[in-house]
Amino acid sequence: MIFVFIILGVVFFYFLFKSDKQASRKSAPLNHNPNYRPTSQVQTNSPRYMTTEDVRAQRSKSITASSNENMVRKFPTFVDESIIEVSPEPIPISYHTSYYPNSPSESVHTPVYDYEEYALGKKYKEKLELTKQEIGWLNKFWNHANAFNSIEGCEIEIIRLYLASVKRINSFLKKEASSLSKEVEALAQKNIEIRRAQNTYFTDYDVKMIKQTVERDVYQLIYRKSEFLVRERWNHKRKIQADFYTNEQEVRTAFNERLSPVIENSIKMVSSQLVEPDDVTEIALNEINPTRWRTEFERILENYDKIGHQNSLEALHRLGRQNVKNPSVENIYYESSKHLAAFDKLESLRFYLHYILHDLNSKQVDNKQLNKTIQKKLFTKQNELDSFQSIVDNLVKSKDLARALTDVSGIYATKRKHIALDINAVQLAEKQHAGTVEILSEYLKDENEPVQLVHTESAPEGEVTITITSIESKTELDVQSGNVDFSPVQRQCLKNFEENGFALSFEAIEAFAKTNGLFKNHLIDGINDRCMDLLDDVLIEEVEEGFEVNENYYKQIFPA
Amino acid sequence: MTANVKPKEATAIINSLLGGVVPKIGVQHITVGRSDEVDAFLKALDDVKNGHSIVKFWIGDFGSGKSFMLHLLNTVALKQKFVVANADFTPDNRLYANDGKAVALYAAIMDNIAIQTKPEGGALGTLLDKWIEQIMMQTATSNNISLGDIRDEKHSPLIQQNIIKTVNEITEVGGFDFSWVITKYYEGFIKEDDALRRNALKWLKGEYRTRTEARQDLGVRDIIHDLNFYDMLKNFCKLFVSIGYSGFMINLDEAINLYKISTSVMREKNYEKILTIYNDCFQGKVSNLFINFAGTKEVLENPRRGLFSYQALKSRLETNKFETLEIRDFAQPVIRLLPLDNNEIFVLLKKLKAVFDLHYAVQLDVDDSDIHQFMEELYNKPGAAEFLTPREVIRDFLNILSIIRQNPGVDKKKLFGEIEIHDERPDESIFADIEEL
Repeated sequence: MIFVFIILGVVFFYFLFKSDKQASRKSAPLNHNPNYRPTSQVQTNSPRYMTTEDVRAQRSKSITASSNENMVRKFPTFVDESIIEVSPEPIPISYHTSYYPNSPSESVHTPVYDYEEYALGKKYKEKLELTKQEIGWLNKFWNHANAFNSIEGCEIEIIRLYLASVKRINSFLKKEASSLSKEVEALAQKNIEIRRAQNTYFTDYDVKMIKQTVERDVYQLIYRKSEFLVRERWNHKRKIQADFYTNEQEVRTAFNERLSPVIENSIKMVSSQLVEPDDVTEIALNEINPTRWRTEFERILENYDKIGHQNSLEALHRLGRQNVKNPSVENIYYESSKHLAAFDKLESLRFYLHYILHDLNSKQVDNKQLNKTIQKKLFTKQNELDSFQSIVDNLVKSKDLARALTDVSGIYATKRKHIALDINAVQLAEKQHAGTVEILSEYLKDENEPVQLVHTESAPEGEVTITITSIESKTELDVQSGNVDFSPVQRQCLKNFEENGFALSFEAIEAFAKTNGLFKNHLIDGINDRCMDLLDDVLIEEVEEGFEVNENYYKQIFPA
Repeated sequence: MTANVKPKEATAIINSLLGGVVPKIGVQHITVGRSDEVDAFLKALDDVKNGHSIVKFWIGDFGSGKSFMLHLLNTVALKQKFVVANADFTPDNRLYANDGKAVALYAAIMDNIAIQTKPEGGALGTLLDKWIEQIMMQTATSNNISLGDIRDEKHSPLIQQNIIKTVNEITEVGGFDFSWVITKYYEGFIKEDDALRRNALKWLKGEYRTRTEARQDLGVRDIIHDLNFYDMLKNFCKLFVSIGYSGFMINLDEAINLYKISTSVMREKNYEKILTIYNDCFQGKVSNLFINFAGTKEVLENPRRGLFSYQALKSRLETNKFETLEIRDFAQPVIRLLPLDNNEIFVLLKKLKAVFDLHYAVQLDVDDSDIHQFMEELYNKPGAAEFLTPREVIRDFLNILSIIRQNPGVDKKKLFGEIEIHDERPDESIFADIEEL
């Protein structure tokens, strides 16, 4: 019976306690004092269940007492302490059960949650063959995905830079007998002290949270700075903020004075390890940055002379391929075509054909024409322009770029000009020429001249045979026999020339002419006129000091 | 086709063409594709011979044969007993100027006066001597004086009287000074005073720069200067005709230099002078004068700087609007020289091959198909469309014939393939620097 009363008593006290607790909970929201605490319960020695706060406080005390010196080293244990005990009889968590059901029958509500499942360390552990320490560094913060680091190539490069930076920071700090974790801990401690001084309601939980926050913020800052650098190097237009935020000015100052320069320098030093993005990453980057190609395009043009024509062409084609998902890809080909017009007309046309095809495949067909100046450079002849227009028309119809590129190769090929001779026109020209010769010969006619008959006969097929017949000239014979109709005075004058070495002074001729009742010029012109028909040239020439007779002509007229 | 080619003509043709110049004789044998132009200028020559005066403008692009045509004109005119003078317009020679550039052109013309027996120029002295001898003979005949006695000083007044009479008949402007100087020349001729003759010639050639100098030497009051040189040319034209020549032909090449005059006022004055000459010739104010201008299409047609920029000339020189490429009008003052077509070039080369064979007395193994192939190779060379002229075609062809003659076994195709074409045009970049004033 006594035993029954004891049990009843216990039950009574239990309900009494429970009703008090409920009453205090119900009244708590009305109390605006954040430090409000039901002191009666804290002070009472009555047996009761420990609250969560009690458990945390107790554990915190034991840890602080036992390992105050090794706080930083044992810091990961803080994380474990975040597990909250909410029931008097805790239910052990089954770590062997997956969060997701293996079969539809299994409940999805089985709360097996891997805290680090989406952390970078775990994600890239195998892919990047990370060490435990590296995984730890990567798991220290949550990675906030954005358009840039969602591209795997970018993410991996950021991680590489981040890990290299952390190692660099540690190796730098090691010289000062410190480490990044120690510095972080010191920073956290400073923050804790400040916060504790500001706030009377400051528990171990706050301490832990501050430590976690500071640690997360510092490591995330390094990550974000790495990302910032990768973005910058890889010409990603949108920048991100990479600053250390904290409410406490002193902590911020301490960070800026101590850790910030170390981080900056270290990242700068390891930035040389940055590599160029691979083609897959380039394609992904160009897809989200439609104007990103311009930087590379301008670089290629600037270095055109340095890298050479062929390499520049390959670089431009590669740029086009890397922008295959870029909605502005046609502009690359268009600009390339414009630029190359001055250097390589054929390649310029090829790029323009690429432009046409990409423009056709784009959402909006711009159909941009090359300007007149460039067209003049590209097409010096109308037939070249016509041929190219025909190739473009075919490309628009068939979208067969390969064929268009093949066709355009022959556009500047020298087309051998065939000289078409029209037999009738040739015969007409010959006839007209004969008429011209005849009429001119009439005007230029020389009587009694030696003639070579040149017969040019046209065969029926249009082939022409030329035969030359030499005809002995009667006049030549007359001349050879001295049969030129000179007057006796003229003959005497010529004889005087012969006797005086075929040259006479003006005075001598004047005297001779005077003697014979003639005038000098009259005499000389008379002789020349007589010979002109035969020689087609003058026999006696006036020179500086007198007159000279052409010896060859003289011998022709008076053979020995 | 049968053509008469004299051996010396063949020699002259081959030697001259190999040197890139037009031959002095036998030029008719290489006049292919210009029958209408030849007919036109022969008709013009006949007209001038008959007392008319004509101005012709030979217009054609570089290599179209302007200079060749002028040379042909020259040759035919000399044969037709014309006195011929050739001169080029230069930056220092023009038709109108007030700084001596016009009289410089006159001096160039007078220095280049040629007759058949003195085709190289410098025939003014000969012409004057001839004329004075004629006057003396006429005086002797009309006064029953023997030719031996007419030289006596006592007959000088008679001769001088006849000289002045003739000069007065032929001169209009500046006749007194002109006849005075001619009389001085006669004095020098009779007295065998070479200094006096040279001074008189110097005056007649427009080489005196100051009146003082001329007065000291010849006692004459005026000189030939920028403003009266054209009148003197007309006087000489009449004098030459009176001597017995068919007329006076003046060929003025490189009219581009008038086009290049930077001052628009000065350019217009020059064009005005051309208009004066044109009007004198076609209005019958002067007889037996034949003036030829040669220039490019730009010189004629450029509306800003060419002859067409001067409205009065434009209306006179505009092409017959009914003329087409097929239907030509060669009676116009402007004769456009179109480039020879392929058929005409073929005929020319064939003719040259025949002349070459004649000159060297060989029969080269170069047939029509070889000539055809040569033409194809040549016209397919880079730059052929822009730079190739008949001069280059002819020179290359003759060079190849020359090689084949001396190396009978040589590969003709290889030779044809080795031809290179160069731009032989004058530097046109200087036109870009012409500043409009």
